[in-house]
Amino acid sequence: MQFWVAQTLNSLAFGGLLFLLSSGFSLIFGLMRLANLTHGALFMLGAYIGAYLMRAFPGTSLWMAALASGIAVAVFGGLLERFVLRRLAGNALGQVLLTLGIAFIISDGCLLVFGGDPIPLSTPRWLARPVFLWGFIFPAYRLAVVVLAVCAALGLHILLDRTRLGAMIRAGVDDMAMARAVGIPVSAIFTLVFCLGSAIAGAGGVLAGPILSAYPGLDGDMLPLALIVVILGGVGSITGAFVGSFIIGAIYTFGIALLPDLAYVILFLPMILVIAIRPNGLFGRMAV
Amino acid sequence: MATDALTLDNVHAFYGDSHVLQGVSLAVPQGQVLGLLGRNGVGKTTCISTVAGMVKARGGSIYLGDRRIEALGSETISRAGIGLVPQGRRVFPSLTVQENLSVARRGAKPRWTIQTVFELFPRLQERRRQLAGWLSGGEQQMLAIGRALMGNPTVLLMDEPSEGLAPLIIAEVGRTITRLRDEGMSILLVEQNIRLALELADHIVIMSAGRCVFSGGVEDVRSQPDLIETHLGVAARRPEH
Repeated sequence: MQFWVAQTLNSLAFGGLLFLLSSGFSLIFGLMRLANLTHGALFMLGAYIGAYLMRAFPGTSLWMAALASGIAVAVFGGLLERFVLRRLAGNALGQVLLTLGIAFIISDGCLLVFGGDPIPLSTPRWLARPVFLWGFIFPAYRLAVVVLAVCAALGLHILLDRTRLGAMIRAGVDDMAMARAVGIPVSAIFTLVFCLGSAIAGAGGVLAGPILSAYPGLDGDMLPLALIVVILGGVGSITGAFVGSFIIGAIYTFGIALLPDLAYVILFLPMILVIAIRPNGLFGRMAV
Repeated sequence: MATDALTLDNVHAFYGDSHVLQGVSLAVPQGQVLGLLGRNGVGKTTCISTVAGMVKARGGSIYLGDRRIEALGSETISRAGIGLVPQGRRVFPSLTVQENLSVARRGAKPRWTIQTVFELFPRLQERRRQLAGWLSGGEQQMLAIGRALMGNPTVLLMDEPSEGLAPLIIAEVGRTITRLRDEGMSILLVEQNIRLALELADHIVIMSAGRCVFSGGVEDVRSQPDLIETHLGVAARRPEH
């Protein structure tokens, strides 16, 4: 029984981390029709920046590191969008190749600077102890990750569905040319959304640190999962990214624990089914 | 002579490879409705899209009042004071009625606010929390007009506002256009419904094959039935009132 409870919590925590990665990926894809293959690398870059900060400035808490790393990665993402990706607007293949290339560069850059050994990020002390609930042992930090992911989802939901800025973003997703024609500053909103998505990925990478560590290949491990989540949940849908993240988190965690040889089969099978039956994803409303 | 609200001078534009506008010149006087007529495919919608900045002019100049706008992006053109009611309405389907209006809000002491748009179209107020994609065609048209007004434009571009609507709704849209004109709005109106266009417009410009072939008053058009038959492809009838 403890196995199932522990794996369930693991899967929820992993789903929460996936949401931090895939929500930004989905927003950027939905608004800008841009499959940002750098997104996994931004997640990893965030983890490494967090690890560096916590090592270089002892006393830096994980939360401070996540905040600083989120800001740093947001700035990086904003510059990338403004000065590089914007030149390739409308050129989907060019964008895919470019973002993939930048992902490789980030990846090798991190390897060069931080070396090949995994760097674990330390769990905040007050969350390092396990929690006992209903007779079961829960690692407190994983619970905290789930709570943080839910908070992020709520925050994004409020931003997108309850504010004028969010309505402008959705207007851009609906009909970009018309959004421009009613005076919505679509270009500025692109940069903003790219910064926001990058920030969440960067901070998410730090929050993943105590569970996954910062290691070379983290980007390549996470990006396909984010892709599956977005395909499953539907492009541009935060609800879809949320539900999809926890579904994929569960499938991945239990798949590895129970049928390690078939983990990827179990993972990609639902994606293929969704593409075949509901090409716009479970919550999607537009064709890609 | 007072400056016209909107002036196109020898404007050329392409749609893909085809040379759709081949030197269009026309002027919308302040506070008047210019009806732009012509058969399908002569370039009326391209003309509107070019003014709105959605299609780039490749020659000639476009003035909004005294300001040259043909090189500006459509965001900037909208902010300069051009409101677009596009063909097919193109409301944002996943936004509510109120959100469709609020995203287009602009102006410090605006004549048009969500409240005044609701006064113009009370039906939109009843539907304010509904998603625009679920509205009827007539309601979407009202919303498209309201959304364009929210930018507090000086010139309104309307591309076939009567398309696909029931006669009662067309009459309401027509009354709205007249009311906006009476308040001083300058309107460039593209319309397939010739009777409606002759009823609403102060001046008529007829396009054929990417050029303006006629410009004159409504009575000039009415008194030349062959003009209508040649360029608009319908037998001329006097609109009955």
